[in-house]
Amino acid sequence: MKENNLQKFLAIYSGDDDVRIREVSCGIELTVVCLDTMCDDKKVSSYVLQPLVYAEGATDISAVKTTLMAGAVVSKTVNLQSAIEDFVNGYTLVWDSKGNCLSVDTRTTIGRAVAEPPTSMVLRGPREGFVEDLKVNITLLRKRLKTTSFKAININVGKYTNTAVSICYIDGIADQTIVEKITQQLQAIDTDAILDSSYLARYLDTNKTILFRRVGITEKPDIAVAKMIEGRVAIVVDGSPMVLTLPYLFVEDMQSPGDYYENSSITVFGRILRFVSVLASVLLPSLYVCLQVYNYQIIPLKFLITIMNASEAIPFSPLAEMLLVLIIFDILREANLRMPSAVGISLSLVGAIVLGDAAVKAGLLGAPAVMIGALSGIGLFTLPDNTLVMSLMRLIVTFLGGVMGLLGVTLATIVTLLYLASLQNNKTPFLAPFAPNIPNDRQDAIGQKPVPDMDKRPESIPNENKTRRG
Amino acid sequence: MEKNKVGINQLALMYLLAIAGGKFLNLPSILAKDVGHDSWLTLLFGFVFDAVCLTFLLWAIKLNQKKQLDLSTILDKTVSKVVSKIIMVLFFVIFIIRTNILLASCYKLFAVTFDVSTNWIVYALPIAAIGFLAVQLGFNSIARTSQLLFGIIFLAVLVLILSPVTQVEFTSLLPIGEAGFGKIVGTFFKRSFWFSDYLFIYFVFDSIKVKNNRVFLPILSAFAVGAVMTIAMNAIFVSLYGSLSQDIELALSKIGVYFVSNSSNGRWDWITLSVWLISVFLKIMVFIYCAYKCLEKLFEFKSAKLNVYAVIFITLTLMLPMFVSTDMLLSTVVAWGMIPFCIVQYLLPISMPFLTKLANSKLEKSV
Amino acid sequence: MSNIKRIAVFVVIILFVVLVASSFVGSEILDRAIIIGLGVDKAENGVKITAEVVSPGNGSEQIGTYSKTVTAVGDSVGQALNRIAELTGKEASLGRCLLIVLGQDLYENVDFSDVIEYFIRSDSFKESSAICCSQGSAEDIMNKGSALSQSVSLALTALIQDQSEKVAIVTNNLLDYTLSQRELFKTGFLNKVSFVSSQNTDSNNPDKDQGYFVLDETVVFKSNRYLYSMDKEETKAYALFDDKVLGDTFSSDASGKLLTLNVNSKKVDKKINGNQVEINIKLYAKLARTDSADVEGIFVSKDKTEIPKETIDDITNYATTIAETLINKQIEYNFDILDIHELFRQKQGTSEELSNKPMSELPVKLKVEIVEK
Repeated sequence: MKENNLQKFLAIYSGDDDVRIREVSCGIELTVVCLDTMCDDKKVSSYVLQPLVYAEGATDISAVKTTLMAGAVVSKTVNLQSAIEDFVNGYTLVWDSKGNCLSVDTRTTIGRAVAEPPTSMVLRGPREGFVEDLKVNITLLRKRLKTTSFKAININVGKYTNTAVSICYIDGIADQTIVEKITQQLQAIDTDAILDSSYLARYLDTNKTILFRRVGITEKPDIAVAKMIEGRVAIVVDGSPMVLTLPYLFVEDMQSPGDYYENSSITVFGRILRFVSVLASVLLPSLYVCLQVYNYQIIPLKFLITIMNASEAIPFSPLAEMLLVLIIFDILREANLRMPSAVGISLSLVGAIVLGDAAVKAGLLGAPAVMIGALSGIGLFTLPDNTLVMSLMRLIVTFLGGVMGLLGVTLATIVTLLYLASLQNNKTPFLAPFAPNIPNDRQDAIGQKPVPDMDKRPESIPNENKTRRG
Repeated sequence: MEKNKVGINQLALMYLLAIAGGKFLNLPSILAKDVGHDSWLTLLFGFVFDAVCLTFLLWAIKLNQKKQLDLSTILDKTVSKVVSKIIMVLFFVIFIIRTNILLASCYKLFAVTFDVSTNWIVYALPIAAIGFLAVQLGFNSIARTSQLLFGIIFLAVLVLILSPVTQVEFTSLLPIGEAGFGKIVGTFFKRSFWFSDYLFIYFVFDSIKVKNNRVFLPILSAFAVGAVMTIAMNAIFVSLYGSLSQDIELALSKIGVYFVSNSSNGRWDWITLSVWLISVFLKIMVFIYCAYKCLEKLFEFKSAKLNVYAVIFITLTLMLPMFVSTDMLLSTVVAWGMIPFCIVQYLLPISMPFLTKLANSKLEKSV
Repeated sequence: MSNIKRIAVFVVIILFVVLVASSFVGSEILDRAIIIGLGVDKAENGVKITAEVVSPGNGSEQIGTYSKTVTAVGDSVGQALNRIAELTGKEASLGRCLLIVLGQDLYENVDFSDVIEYFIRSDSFKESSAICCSQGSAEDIMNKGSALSQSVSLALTALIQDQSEKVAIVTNNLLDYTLSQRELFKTGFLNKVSFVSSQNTDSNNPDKDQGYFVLDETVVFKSNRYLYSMDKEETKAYALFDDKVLGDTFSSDASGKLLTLNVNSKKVDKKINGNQVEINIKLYAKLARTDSADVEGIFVSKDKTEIPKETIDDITNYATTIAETLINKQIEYNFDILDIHELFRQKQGTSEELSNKPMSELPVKLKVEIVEK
């Protein structure tokens, strides 16, 4: 006799002590199975067991579904594969003897409470952040988008993790071809496990960029919604509080969540400051080195004398000295990330003050070099998404500046920009709206128009509705 | 190909950078040697000549909007394949020599002004490599990079040129035309290698995106700004350095000596100078791109990846200054090939509209 | 295979980096003797150069003098600088040189064209550097650092460059001077600096020399050869002809009171009329007071006159006299620092005849006017 789905299912899970099996009779014989750890006991008993135990005279599984099951989500599952998918997600399965199956949503809601995300704190503005639960995250989005146009496409990715992924967009704004393309890209992913949204980000980057982040990441639902309204697609991954947004522009990294809750003049000032500090962070150490090695004429005389005084006793060449400072700063940063927060602050103080000051006093590093290294290290954090990339680039540019002088710095700048300018994802040039120049989109790039005056959606993000009003 | 597409505004900015990116180092002293303080008149004449040719070329671009034919197709269809190939060879030589001149003057700038002494190979190879990277990434990337850097480069040049203005006695340019008209025009033809920066437009002839049929305004205004800037720079330089100007080979590196009047400040003008240098490198990239395209058309290879032989060949030609001085290279080329080069530089653009029209109608007939 | 390929690529990259790194040669600031000022004197067979070199060594603080002077003799400037490199053990770098001082012995006795040529042709040398000549030897001037308690080059450059246009002296820089010696009539001037001792106020070092620099005379050169030394009054007259230079003051007691006028702005108009050059100098002056001149100027109504006519007439006469004296000196010694030849060149173009025309053949008509403003 051919094995039916129930028998196959039981065979698959034989020996798993987490599985609970309960036989009930309500006119027909039913087998109720659930995972102890994934299901809420109360839900199982009140949505599934109670109605079944007290009932009589059910004729078939469809009748059970329509008359007896009290869960909000009850579906009749046709094949074994989808039954297993539901089962592992915390659904309770109700099998009849023929192998037909109902799955009832009895998932537990264990998880972190919605809180302010540590990576994007704001002075003013909403403090809610995404959590690890997909359902909660979609709720957070829906709470802000009470429209029929909000759409979510659900798929599962990962052979073993079978992670639920939701592709969210606003119908009528987001470009359908892009939604389809992203869906296809995600469906085509063949991998064992998706543990976080950043796994997907690698698959979504068509240029296979090794340096820069090509997919936007946000932990805040208000940001995600703002991006969706501009025509972007948000990808929510179960188990990750980081929501991906696509397409992504480089300039987005310069924009802070708080920008939209301040006056535009303050925002513009802040953004220019970020831009300048990043530029200075990457270029300052290299300039410091190459000016010392090659072009001392550029340094103002009094500063030159200070540098000479400071570096006379230093045993390293200017290049080695600066690289050392930068690497020490990177080590401090890396160690600080991994330290328990209780000791983090005190240790980072020790690191910064004791190490820096002692190194200068010990004659290992010059004070100007430490100052420039520290300034440059701190300046980078104004670009939160690409801090580490920039830190790496800074090392390379500093090396080139020390070796080749201004020639090296200039060439490194050109290569970086050339490379960035060539990047394009989903019809969106990475460096838009500056290269190519899109005047309309500069309303919210480095400069920002007051929100009421931003009446057009960005052209660099393909969309189906050009104006923001309607 | 999509990656080589370029917008008309991008093209205009690139053209302006190309004008600014080569005439500020050697040319002022060379012209001063020939025509003294009237060098700006030579430039003026050169630019008027360029303006005429450029207008014709732009007209051709306008005519070419429907079919978007590339240069070699137009030449193949109209003046036969053989002539087309000869023209490509001429273009190749022009671009290689210009790249070499630019490389050599930058090399001198680094060696003399910036104290970076190195050998030619280690200096030229990274720049050539960036050129080939640009070819691989497509003309569009160069255009976007230029667009991105345009503001800062333009500002740097402006600051450099205008910084000595208060020190300059423009009366030293009087009397106008002292060198004589014949000499002024003659010098222009002798030095024509420094002009006609529009030549690179030929190689994006089929990939120009034009909005609202606006072709003339953006490019011609870029040209006008570039011309005014160059002439002003020359006039300021010559009035500042007077009889010394013919001995100063790197004009722009010297023009900012009064940049910050208090001399205990550093030479900040050299920071702006290195920003300007980016435009020279962009120009070199564009020329390498064009040289590569010449070879592509000559030997008819076409692939998504770079052709290794073409890369090696171009790289080798960029090593020429190791063996021959660029001055000698240039004078040899001028002595032997001034007429053919003038044909490509001046006659071809003027006949371009007619050739484009002819090629278009021929194609229509054959369809 | 792929591993071998990977290793090969890695090795090539490393080799390239090493090649690049070893092919670029720079010299660090500590390997350089950074010269901020130079004194050039005549030596027996050549020149003696006194260089003020930045000398670190006060820890990270920079208090007091941070330079020292090094003197070397050589057949030429280049050789003397090489000798300085030998003495300091570092590469002599002229990129930050602010000042050149020519010693009296040098500029009065020899043609120093090669000295000037050396600096103007040097690529790292900044043409806008100050240049002057000294009373006595340049070495003495360069060694006055301890007397001034600061760097001589910085102090003197500030005096020459920053005070010009404020205290009525026309000052010069290397580029302008060089051009004046190469073009047309080939005459130009240099400011003359002298050191004036003052009373010692340092009780710890009662023997220490103390004092300050004075810069109120000029020396005229033709083709880098000494021609004439202008005294204070002639130098003051020269400043009258330059409309960028302000701060001239004139005193007169013609009205019965001793009044001092201060020139706030100036208009100098030079033009050729026939074969004659007409120079009209219009000085806008007002009574000198200790208040800030500019502020007072803004608040005083335009029609208010304070200066008596006699005073104006007297000062006009005085200014005309000193200016005419300078013009006569130009004719007498045949030099042209008022750019008379240049005026003709602008009209007629450069010619051998014009370049050699003596000043006596180029008559100048002068008019000085003082307006209260």
